[in-house]
Amino acid sequence: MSRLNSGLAIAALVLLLASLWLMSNATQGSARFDRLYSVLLFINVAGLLTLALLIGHNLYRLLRQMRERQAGARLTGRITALFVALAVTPVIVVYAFSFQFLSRGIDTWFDVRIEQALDDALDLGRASLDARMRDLLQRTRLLAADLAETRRGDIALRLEDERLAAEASELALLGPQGRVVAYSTIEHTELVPDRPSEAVLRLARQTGSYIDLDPIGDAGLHIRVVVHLLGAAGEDTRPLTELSEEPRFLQGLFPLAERVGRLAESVESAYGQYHELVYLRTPLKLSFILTLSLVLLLSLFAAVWVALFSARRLVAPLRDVALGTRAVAAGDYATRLPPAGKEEIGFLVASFNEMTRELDKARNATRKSQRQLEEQRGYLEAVLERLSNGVLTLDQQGRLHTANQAAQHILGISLEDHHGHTLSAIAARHSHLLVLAERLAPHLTEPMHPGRDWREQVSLSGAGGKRILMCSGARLSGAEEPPGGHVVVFDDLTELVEAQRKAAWSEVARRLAHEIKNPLTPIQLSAERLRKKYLDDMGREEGELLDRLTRTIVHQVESMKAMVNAFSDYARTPQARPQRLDLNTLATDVVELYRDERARTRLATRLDPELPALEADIDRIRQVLHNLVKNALEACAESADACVEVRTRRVVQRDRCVAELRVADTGPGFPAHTIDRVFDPYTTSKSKGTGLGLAIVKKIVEEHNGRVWAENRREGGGCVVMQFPPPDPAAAGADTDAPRRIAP
Amino acid sequence: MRSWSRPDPTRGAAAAFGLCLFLISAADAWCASPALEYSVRHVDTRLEEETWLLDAGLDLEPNSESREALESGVPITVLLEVQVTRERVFRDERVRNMRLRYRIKKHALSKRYMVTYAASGKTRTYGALEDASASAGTIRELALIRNADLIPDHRYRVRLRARLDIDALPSPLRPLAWLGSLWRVRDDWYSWILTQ
Ligand SMILES: Nc1ncnc2c1ncn2[C@@H]1O[C@H](COP(=O)(O)OP(=O)(O)O)[C@@H](O)[C@H]1O
Ligand SMILES: [Mg+2]
Repeated sequence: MSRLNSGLAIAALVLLLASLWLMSNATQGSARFDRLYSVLLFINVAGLLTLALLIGHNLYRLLRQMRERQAGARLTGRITALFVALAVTPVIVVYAFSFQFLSRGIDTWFDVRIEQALDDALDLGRASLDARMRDLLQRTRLLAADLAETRRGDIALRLEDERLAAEASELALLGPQGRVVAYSTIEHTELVPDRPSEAVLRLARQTGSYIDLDPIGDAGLHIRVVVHLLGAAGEDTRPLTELSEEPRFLQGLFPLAERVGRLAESVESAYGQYHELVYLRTPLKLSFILTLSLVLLLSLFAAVWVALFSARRLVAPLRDVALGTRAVAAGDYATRLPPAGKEEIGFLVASFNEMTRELDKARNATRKSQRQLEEQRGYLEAVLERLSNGVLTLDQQGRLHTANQAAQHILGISLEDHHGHTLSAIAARHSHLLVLAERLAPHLTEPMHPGRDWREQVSLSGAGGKRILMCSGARLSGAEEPPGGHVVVFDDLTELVEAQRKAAWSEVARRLAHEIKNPLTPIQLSAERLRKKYLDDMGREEGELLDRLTRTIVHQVESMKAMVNAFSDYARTPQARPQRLDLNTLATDVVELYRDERARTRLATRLDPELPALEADIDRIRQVLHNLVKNALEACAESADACVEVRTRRVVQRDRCVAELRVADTGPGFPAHTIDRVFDPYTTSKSKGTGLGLAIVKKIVEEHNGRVWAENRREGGGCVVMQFPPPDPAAAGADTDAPRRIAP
Repeated sequence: MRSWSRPDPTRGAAAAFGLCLFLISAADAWCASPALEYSVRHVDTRLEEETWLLDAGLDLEPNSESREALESGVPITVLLEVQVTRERVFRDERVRNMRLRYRIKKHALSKRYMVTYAASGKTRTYGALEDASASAGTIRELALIRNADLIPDHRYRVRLRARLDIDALPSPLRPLAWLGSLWRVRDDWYSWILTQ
């Protein structure tokens, strides 16, 4: 594109130069280009104007770029100025001198002496012709007088004779208005002889004759003589019947002698040319100067244009480099500059391209490894998230850095807001973690060698019950930010421990029942047989004693059997028959059973109509309710104006609906030292209690994937809380997801 | 902070135009160029043998520069233009266009003015410039157009003007004459209706 442009521009310049050359030729009088002069002048002026506009536009653009502080504009401006100065100075000097030479040179062509000489030559010529002219006038006058005597019929012949005698080229008799009456001419081809003008006739009429030089067309210089016949012939009134008109004038045209004629012509033309030159002196100077100025302007404009063009070409790669550097600074490493030849600038551009290529490569490598790192990290995070163990990382100062989902789940709090907090700070907000913070503190603060592990079993007790955590930790050795730090891994052992304990208790209960139940029936039978055999034989008093004793044995054995049955009930795991069940209805039924007008304890229900339905074994859940209501009534037995409240509630937990059942009372509440163990078998504070009521409750609730805990109410009294998940088969199947959360 | 006031373009154009006018008028006054005025003495068109003929007499008045040029031996050429146009709603149609050139030159030795009719090369000489220019300004029996070539019911016009032929001047005189003619440019036609 730019190549095409510059080609066009050069072609235009060459054309302009050519037309200027032609014009200067025309100025110097070359006939060939003379006709073209105006056109050439116009073309040149138009071309120069175009060039000027072009340059003006370019300069304006350059100025604007400089004002906007575009890269390279200043340098372009400076190089242009330098080039222009270099080119313009000599041109101007040459122009000034040429101007001087021209005006002086043209002036020296003209000399007063030459002018005088030419004037003199002309006068001399005229003077030398004067004698012949007088002679000719005399001859013509004589001829006119002669002709007046001549008979009209002979006039044509006479004219011819006289013409030959006088060596005239033409003799003619003219009428009063100058019309030809008769004539004789040397040129037979010419039909009509040369007629004198009106002014000549007038003069001849007034003064009687006329004589002067007359340049006649191609024939050259002639002497024209016109004589008024009337004056010459006196009172001649004879009618000239042969002639169409009365002749009034005689005209003679006489050629000059060949040599004289040539000389006169030469003087004439030299004089004419010289005077023409004198007259044209100023316009000639002007037009030379015009041509010169056009040449000057053309070379000036060409210089400016070439300067602009080459400066721009020179600076373009530098500007590219500047822009490229800016782009690289802004982070665009894909910048490649167009190659710029083989000189130093080209080398610079090549180096720049090499640099950006290397930078690009390096950055790509970095990006790649970063991506790999991120992938690995993501992988690790995914693994950590899937892990059922809780994992915490802490920095060197023991501040929380990361925690996985399981950790939050096990600890029962959301750790997202606790980044950067130490464990003790977190524990200050969540009191159930105090023990954990205390137990871990020495491991975290004590300066340790990297790689040495520790283990610690911690049991936490919170609102959701007791939890046993196995914690293990190690010091991290990474040089990465933050350097060092700790990783703590902990596992919730609660279920495992509980399952073990439950298994052990079940075994004990089963054996006890088996071992105790077997001898009980023989004991009962033996006692009854003893009574039957000896009661009749004994006296009344002894009989009564025996009767009372055996009855006591039988009763106690009965109750022992009941107790053993309870044990085996606990140990046995009956086939569950889950069905859809409305907890509200069931609660109402059970509470109605215990309602007694005379009792001091009030029974109340507060049921949530929006409670989700359960999928459960109705008999087992009824037993749960029985056990809990019974315990609550027993707890309230001592206090006056007591109240037992059964409450159901729909609780939204982690975007699922949970049915909650609470049995609360206004009794003394759970003793503080046993509240952790009330769900264990044989934990009882009652003389006749089995300690199995709550154990069975827990077993049944857990069979339904629910969870249960005991708490003391702030306003006094105990409360047992149960939560059952919704009967969603998928959720029911996901055992690992079963809530093990300590309620906040 | 430097501030650049943007020049008002219309003001700039007006200034440039004014400058051009000034330059041209200055050039006109300073280096006056040869030129020719004319006035029409009489015109006459008549139909003869089915052809329209024109007779006209023009008073040519060469200005002082032209006279000076003539006296210095520089020939000047008078250009007579005769046109026949047909009237139309917008631009008249040019039917005929004739150019007659007369070259006037002073003969130094005889001090006579030679008038050469360029088409035939015929020369006549006159003792006074007035006679020479009167001869150059006379048109006799110029065949304009054949009557058959006229479309009936259309109005035709004949127009006529005289001026100096700049291209026939010596080249140094031409730029100025050209500038001068630019300066004097106007519609200087003498026109009349060709009556049928
Ligand atoms: N509502 C309650 N208020 C206070 N203590 C309770 C309540 N329910 C149960 N307990 C305590 O929990 C113990 C265990 O109860 P449970 O397992 O039902 O056995 P039992 O009722 O046979 O003692 C009780 O002995 C009692 O100390
Ligand atoms: Mg109980």
